[in-house]
Amino acid sequence: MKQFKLFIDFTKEEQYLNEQAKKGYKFFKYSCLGFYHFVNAAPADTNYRIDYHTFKNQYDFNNYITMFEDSGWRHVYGTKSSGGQYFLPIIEDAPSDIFSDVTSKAQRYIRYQRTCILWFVLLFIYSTSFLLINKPGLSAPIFLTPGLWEKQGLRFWFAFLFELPFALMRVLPAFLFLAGSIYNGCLAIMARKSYKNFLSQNKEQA
Amino acid sequence: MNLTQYLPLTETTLYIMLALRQPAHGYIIMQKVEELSTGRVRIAAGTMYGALENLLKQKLIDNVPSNDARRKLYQLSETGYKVLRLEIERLKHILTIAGNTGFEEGI
Repeated sequence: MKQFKLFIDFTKEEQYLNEQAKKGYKFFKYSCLGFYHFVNAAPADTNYRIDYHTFKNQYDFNNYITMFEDSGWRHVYGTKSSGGQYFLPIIEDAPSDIFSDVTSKAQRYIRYQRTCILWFVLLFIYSTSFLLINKPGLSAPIFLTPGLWEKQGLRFWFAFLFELPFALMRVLPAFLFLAGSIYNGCLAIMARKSYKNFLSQNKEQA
Repeated sequence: MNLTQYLPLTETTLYIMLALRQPAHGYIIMQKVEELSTGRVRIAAGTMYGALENLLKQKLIDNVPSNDARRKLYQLSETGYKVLRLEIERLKHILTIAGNTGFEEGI
């Protein structure tokens, strides 16, 4: 089973996975843009824990996973560059959390926010420089068929529809990247909010 | 370089640095810290990894060659030693002051 969900708050995401497990859906994979993959399993009480880290190379990634495995946590899902790293306790008397203080637990929101800001900047630079340099529709025509707009009736529609997919391919990526940039900007702001929320909720322990 | 910018160290950092006078990998450090603090300070995996990343970034610890393909070895760097010494001096000073102003020795 697949389910689409968007979480900014790791605590809520952990709760969601635990609730799914209670209903008999065992989480095994997260795919990009927010799809959670489950397999049917016996209903279980689980203690999912999520960290956020990206890694420069496979060695760093293995070192990270092994540190968790050595101390009683099984790496359920996450890749070198996926960011979200999902864990379940291996042993019965495992510690209840992968973090032992509030400050380090809050840092995962900051790392997530940094990734969002990076994507925001990259996609923004790419899309705006494309739009500013090419000025589609202004200095550069979107449709390149010679004399297209002088054509009449069926001939016009045939030529227009024929070129439309190519025309879209010329401009659509820039707009998609721009949308992606704005989306990541919003995620970054929400991650910051979650960070502050988390700190204020856990102030007494800090 | 002004080393006092790193002070005071948090309890977690102080124990990790004390443990890293000898090279060790993540889980060994966790066990050592627990042992050094007689079970009082238990650092969980996520916190440990974050702390090691921070210390590496500050160049207070280094990675040393490891023959284990899945476990990196960490060790206190030269700067790390200097910072640790400064911190111990600072703590000693506090103990002395406390003693001189009426706190009994050993408390």
